[in-house]
Amino acid sequence: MNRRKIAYWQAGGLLVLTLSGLALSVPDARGQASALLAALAKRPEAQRVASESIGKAKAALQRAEQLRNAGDQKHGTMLEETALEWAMAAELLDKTAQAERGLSQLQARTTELETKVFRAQALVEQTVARRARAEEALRKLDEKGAKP
Amino acid sequence: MRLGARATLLALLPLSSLLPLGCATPARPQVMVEVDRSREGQAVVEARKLAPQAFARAELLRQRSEQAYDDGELVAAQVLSEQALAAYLRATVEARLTRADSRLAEAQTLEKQQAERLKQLEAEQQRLSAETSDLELRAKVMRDAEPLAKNEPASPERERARREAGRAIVTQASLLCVAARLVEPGRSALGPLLAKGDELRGKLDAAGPAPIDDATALRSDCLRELTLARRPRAQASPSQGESDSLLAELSRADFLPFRDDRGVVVTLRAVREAGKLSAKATEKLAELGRVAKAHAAFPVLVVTHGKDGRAGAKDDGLGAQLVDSLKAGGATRVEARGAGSSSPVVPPDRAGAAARNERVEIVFVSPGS
Repeated sequence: MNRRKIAYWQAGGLLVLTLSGLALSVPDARGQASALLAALAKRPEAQRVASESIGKAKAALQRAEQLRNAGDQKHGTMLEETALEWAMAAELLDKTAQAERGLSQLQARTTELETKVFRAQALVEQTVARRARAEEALRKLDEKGAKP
Repeated sequence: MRLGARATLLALLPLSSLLPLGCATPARPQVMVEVDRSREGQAVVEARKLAPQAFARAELLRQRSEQAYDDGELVAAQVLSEQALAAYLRATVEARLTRADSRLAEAQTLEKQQAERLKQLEAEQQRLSAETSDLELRAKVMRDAEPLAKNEPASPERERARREAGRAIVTQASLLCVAARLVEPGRSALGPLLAKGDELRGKLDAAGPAPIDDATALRSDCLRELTLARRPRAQASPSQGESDSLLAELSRADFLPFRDDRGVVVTLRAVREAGKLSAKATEKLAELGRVAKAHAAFPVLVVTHGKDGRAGAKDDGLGAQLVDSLKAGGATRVEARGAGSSSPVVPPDRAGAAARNERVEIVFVSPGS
């Protein structure tokens, strides 16, 4: 009986430890927002394309801190979540701008290729015509040579 | 507690600048109005289709904000509305990203298709160009081989002119035959044709009617032999690029190259000073030797043109010096021939003719068509 109790206590303790470990491994909204903003700060391009969202995220974090300092934990947490929302929007804006830049470069390359294809097609047509003229000339020379 | 309430109001001041405090039924906060406006925008309408999950999340936040407002929790309503604004922005950006990804995939497919098409067209162009050049050359050889009206004996002045023309034609014929020998060293028909050239030179120096018709026929025969010697390579590798790239390289180096039946030709003048190759000429020859090494498929024919002497006459060792210089630069297959004064650029009796007529031709003999 005692052994069973000990085993229950051990399992319960293990569960508590696991849950607290998980809780520690998932950063809170403030932590996540701060990490995202720090990563975006390293990218000058992100500062350009998402400055408004970044600014709003920073402002929300600041306001959240003021609320927490004043003891309003509930609204502080809500504002931290808002900051995270803005930071994620800024990150997505940066990612989208990168994708759109890549698309623009690819489209420029494709346009250049299309021009090359157009020119190559024209050259092939010219050469086909040149070959036809050469064949005709040869045919005439053959006919002339065949005559007695 | 009072301190906390003041801090809350200060923190939320940006959201509630228009909030009329103290009213019994609070006016709808500005941020909530902004959410309503954003929600009706075209970008959000599109996001509903392209980013449904992100849109649903924004909608949920908006609904929570509305609920908080209905419950009289103004602060929570404003914070949730701001969160909803950010979520709507995320939804629209996600829709933009989806569109960009889709267009990127389309552009990648198009790029691949165009690159493949270009490759096909380039290959087709090379093949067609090689076939056409071959046909044109065959037509040229046939035209040259057409029997000409036999030249009857003419006045002494006319005969002299024919003799000069005959010498030039025989020189051209010999150079074509030598070029053919460089392309295909074992070609059996070339020996008799070169011997025929020597024989015709003898006749042209002797009294009697100039063998102009024989000279023309010899030139046609030598051109035909060169064409036949080139044919296997032209058929095996129909690329026309090698001659073009050689011409472009020589043009870039300011050698002013040109093409003729033999291949790509560079002309050098005043190559000797006091019986030796000048420093400038040596430098140019070294450069040409390097080009020859880089285009090893092209054998090199060196032709010296003097102010007097017949073709094939001794050239005071100039040909050998030129060959040595080219080989020092890296050329491997080089042969020199003297053309004497048989192919002048300007009439010899014109002022300054010697300086223009004395020259060296470095011929990169085309191995293909």
